[in-house]
Amino acid sequence: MLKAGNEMQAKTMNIKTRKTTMAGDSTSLQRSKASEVWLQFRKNKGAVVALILLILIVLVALFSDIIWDYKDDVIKQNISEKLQGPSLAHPFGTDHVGRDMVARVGYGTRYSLSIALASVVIAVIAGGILGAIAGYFGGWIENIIMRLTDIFTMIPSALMAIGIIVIIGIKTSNLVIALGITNIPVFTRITRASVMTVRNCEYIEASRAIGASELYILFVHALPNSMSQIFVQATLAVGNCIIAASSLSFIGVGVPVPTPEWGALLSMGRSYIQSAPYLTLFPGLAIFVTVMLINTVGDGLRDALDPKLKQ
Amino acid sequence: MNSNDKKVLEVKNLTVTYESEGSVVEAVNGINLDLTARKTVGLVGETGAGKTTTALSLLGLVQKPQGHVKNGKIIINGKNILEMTEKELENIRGKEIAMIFQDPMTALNPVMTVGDQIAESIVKHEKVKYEEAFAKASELLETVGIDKARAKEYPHQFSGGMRQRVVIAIALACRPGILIADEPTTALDVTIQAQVLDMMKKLKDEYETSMIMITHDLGVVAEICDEVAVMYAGHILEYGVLEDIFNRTKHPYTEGLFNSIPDINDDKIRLVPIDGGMPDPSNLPKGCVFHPRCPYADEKCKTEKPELKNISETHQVACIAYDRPGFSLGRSNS
Repeated sequence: MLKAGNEMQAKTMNIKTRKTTMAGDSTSLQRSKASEVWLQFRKNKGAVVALILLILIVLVALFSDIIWDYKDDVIKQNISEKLQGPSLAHPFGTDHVGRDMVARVGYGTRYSLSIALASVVIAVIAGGILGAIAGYFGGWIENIIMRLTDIFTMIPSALMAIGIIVIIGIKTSNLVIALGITNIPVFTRITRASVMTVRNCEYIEASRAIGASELYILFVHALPNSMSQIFVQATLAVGNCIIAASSLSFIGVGVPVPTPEWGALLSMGRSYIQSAPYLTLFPGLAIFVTVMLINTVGDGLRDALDPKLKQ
Repeated sequence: MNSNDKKVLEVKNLTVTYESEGSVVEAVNGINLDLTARKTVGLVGETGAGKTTTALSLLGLVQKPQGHVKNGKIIINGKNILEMTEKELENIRGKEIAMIFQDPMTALNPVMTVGDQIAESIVKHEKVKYEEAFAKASELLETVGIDKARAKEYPHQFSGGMRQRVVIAIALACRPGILIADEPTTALDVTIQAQVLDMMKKLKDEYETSMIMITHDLGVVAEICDEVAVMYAGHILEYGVLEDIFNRTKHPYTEGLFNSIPDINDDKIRLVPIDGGMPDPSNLPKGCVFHPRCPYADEKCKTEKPELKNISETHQVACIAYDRPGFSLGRSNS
């Protein structure tokens, strides 16, 4: 019954896109593109479920300051209720100073997600531009960019992040900058490699033959054709950045206390891992589930974005 | 000849080389070519004869840093494009001279709708709004025989023949005066070839475009060309109007090409292929470039470089064997 309903909906959507296609103005063009991607995306049931759960997590992150009061629920100590196991009042238990772990893990969503997203955005933009220039133009400019990238790749990323934070100071914004910088080389390499394969395609030559300028070709033809690889790497990187931010917080160079970032929560729970395992279990689960959901949605989106898979 | 035979393109002594560490590939060696308004010139020759390099140099698109246009002039509508800046070149590409690429499977951007790809050139050269250009692009699709509602579809949703129609629509988008077609039918099967050729012929007349048709298919040449230049190892060996080349063949190489075509009326005759293969373009033979494969070659051919000489008002051939008294090709005897 439900399935039939879905199919009906899909059909009406299809008809709608056809109609907008006939209209031929640019807004409907974008709408029909988006709905085509959506039609393709929803065929992947796992990805749809992951997307719904991920949206819930993002909603928690967006509204965490409405759901919980930062001063009263998240950082206010209440020693009399310390180290209580999961119960109805405190489903995730309470920590060593009696703070409710639901509030702390929930509020941590906001920190972990925004730190990871912001650092990936920095890395994609910087690495993407560098890689595109290196891959498309080649020559000395490529040499300079790629040798610098090699130097950065040689330093272990965790070590580099720690180094950067120590130099510019322990602050949440600095954590974002450090994670962003450590991720630039990956995106430079990926973008360069895919732009290099695309650069020699005949449609690039064909575009030159109608008088398009090099920069136009790079940004309108070469980059969009490299996007799917960059996109997949970006979703993987969001997951990695959540873990990296957590690791840095775990060793104490991430977010300053008492910010309830997931890694910081793990780090705090570590001392009680035998007497109160729930202190590490729930933040750990939050990291695991979120990273997994992001990767699943990323995979689904990559498939949906690939026009070759469409009928 | 009427009063309208204005020259839209003149190529004078064009020489193009590709240089890489230690070796110099002489791709095009001093060719001359004239294109009269509304006429079609065929460039015929084997793979590696320098046809595509010639075409790319007409657009100023010889791949740098290896490719060098060494010498010569390419005059399009009175302007030498070899002296133009990159910006000026961008302005004439697509507008005054456009190219149809060989392989429709790779000549279209897979992540862009075909309508957008046709509109690209219109937006660039006619300075109109995107919506207007897209509407125009849809009209063009109709012109090449594709339903205009399909302008919003992606290249993979079209068959090979239809994609080639799209490629043609892109090339014709700004009604260029000169159209270069680089083996436009090679990647298509024979029935589709005929359709596409017919359409090109029709559109060429309608748009009053002159065309350079690059091909190794003499059938295509007979179908569509007014004049033919036979190229070999970067040289033009024979040049003339269609009848000159087909019925009054003068160069041994051209004869070899015709002898390699099966005859539909005589299914028992053995094909006579040309002996040997293309010379190494980084080490061309001295004298006539064709002499190692030429059945008529003598000692003189090994040392003396033949010039293109007029043998009639419309017909030129580069072969010194005609200095010998009474020389003629086997084909013209039979």
